[in-house]
Amino acid sequence: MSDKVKFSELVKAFAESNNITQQKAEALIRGIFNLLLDDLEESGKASITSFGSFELKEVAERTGVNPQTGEEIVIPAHNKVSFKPFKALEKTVNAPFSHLESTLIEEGAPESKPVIPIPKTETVKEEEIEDQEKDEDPFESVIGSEAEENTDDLEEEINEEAEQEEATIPPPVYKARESERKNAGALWLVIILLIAVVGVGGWYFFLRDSGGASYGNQVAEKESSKTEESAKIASANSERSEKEAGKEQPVTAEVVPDDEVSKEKPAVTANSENNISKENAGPVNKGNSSKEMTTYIIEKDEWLWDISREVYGKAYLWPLIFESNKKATDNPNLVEPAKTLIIPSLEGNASALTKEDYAQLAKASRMVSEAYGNAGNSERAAEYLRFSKKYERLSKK
Amino acid sequence: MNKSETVKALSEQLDLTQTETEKLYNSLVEQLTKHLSDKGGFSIPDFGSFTSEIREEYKSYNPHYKQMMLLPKKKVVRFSQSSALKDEFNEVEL
Repeated sequence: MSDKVKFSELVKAFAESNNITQQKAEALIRGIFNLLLDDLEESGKASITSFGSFELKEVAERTGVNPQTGEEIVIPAHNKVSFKPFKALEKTVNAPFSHLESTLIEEGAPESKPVIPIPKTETVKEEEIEDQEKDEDPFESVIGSEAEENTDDLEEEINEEAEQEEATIPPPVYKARESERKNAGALWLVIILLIAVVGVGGWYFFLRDSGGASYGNQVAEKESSKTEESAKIASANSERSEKEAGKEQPVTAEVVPDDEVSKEKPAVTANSENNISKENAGPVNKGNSSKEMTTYIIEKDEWLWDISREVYGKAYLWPLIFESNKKATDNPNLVEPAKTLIIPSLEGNASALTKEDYAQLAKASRMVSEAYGNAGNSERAAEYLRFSKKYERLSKK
Repeated sequence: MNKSETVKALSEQLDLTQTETEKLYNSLVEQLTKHLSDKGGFSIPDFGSFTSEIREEYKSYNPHYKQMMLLPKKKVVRFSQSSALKDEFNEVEL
């Protein structure tokens, strides 16, 4: 929606109404949601008092359709955080519609919709307009009266409807009889109005639904472009710092075991000669990953993240590499080119880590968090501290 | 973690007394609720966005009355997780 409150506006309004600084307000809001995250990771459940509860849910694999190409795609099983508002919140938000109540509808009514001849619907419209002139909210009063009738004498209504169905009366005749039998007339009016309401409601619902979907896509696109941007900025930063690092530290001596050199050298030299040949080198590296590589020579413009993906097949294992090569005082985002890294081996494999691996990963993540803290990136530090807790839990399972 | 535990943890983080923190906490929840009822909702970075939208009336079967019911228009709260939150609980593969 267009009138959604931005985070900065939210923080500002909150700070002003409580006479606190915006920094404090932001810290409080972020603090609350970070605690929520911790809760979610620990127990899969979390809640904000008198607001709502969050729960981690597993979503099973299903097939979907790519909206752009119409192609069938498999959406893999994943976890999802779901939110359920508490009663207090629901009630406050729904205040403008709280007077509306659910009503029973006759089973016959929806089926009779296609049978109605065209002149009849015209009369319905006329009646509707007349009603609207008389009353501000015709639907409500009519539906309300129908509800009363329903609860009072359901049987009578059913009988009457049966009668009406037997005699399929054309509208003029029906109008004439209206004066004779006011009850039946009112009932017909109610039923026809209901059909109209249901029809309009359904139409709105579908319209809204399709609109909502496209809106979701736009949001997703925006978000992805945002992350791309931030990635660009980050890579620019790392490039810059790599240059600096290159000046300070000339290429360090390579301490590579002999048997590894024979395996690794061809791929690496090919890379350093020509960065474009990375595609060719890719498969070579992958082939080695299954055989447990113990060293790795950094190419230009590589992050530990990328190296971990090439070596282990999974990017999220990069703290392991960081831990065995760096100190907590190093910035994890900086990598000196042409330096040899020691790659710790895993007990299990990347897709099925053992408890020891998780313990190691927890330790490594803690160190990364510390390093980010030293580098002044407190957000990342908190993130990796959370990861480390997660791995610690996994290691105890 | 219940409210008092949350408030305690927050008061330590923010260097405030627990009474102050609880007051702020209550006021925040009140404001978030207000944003949802008066505006279209709000978003929390790296967590997700909360929106309120009007759900049109619809028909549904009521097993108690064994009949179809017309359920009225309602304003409901929806939550949509951010991509960062999604990655948090799923192994990221790039």
